[in-house]
Amino acid sequence: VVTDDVPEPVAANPDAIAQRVVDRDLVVAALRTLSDEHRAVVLETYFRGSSVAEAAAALGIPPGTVKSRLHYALRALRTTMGEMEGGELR
Amino acid sequence: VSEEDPFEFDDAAYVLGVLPPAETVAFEQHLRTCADCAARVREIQGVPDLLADISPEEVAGPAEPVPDTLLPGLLRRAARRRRRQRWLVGGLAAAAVACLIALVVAVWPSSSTPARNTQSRPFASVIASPVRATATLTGTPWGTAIDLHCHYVTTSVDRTWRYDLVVYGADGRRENLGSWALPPDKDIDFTSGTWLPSNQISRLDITLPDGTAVLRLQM
Repeated sequence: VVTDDVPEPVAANPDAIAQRVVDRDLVVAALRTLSDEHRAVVLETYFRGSSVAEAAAALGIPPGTVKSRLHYALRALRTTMGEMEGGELR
Repeated sequence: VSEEDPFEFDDAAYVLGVLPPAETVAFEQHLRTCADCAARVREIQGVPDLLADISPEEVAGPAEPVPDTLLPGLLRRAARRRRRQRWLVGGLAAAAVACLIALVVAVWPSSSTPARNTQSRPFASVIASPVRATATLTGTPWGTAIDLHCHYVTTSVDRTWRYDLVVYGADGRRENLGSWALPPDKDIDFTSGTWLPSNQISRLDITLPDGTAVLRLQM
């Protein structure tokens, strides 16, 4: 079977499932707040299905840069969602 | 901790499933011993699911800054919804027995009419692939009905791919629930089912004919 050692998928948590019914609009808005560079690596990998190497070739940047941009891009998206979860804004 | 952790930036490529296979193996090894990297993965592992229903057309296009007023407004709306959900969850917990009975009554006879409470849920990507799917699981007297909606997120797919639906039971049992072909530029609805009650399903995988899991819905 698969990896018991990697962290449990979020979907295993019922609260996380409820949370996922989040506004699509919010996710789109959050994606649009990313810088062009960060948005480009997310588009190229997640949406166009490119590997790190393919995305690197397509964008003309080193593979390591693809990885670090993804790292920051997902974190930025997560932060936006985190603000929502905390309900800090009103 | 260490600034020189060579895996420090692998987390996002890993959760998106775009890390090369050899690096994936190495990273998973590393995750067992590096609490920092494991924590980083946990932080962002929900993000791919959030993206699952979004089409690239919605986010591509010119860099047009979001008006200052839009995002805070959306955040406020979502925060309100979250509070409602929390209240709902609390209410459900308080009346768990009553709700359970109500649910059984609502779901049991619903094999012909879709139950109102069923929601379609997106599969998460296991490997980089343009295919996306959502599933609605409905309890029936004979087991669980599974309605699948499947499509490509890009128009650049140039051939028909074949996929299989596989269910894993809580006891690890694996069962193939059928297969379908997905032509480019088509959305398909695929209906299947299993004798397993939904609470005994641990996950659904959509695989390639060689068994490689492409998408996963963890229950």
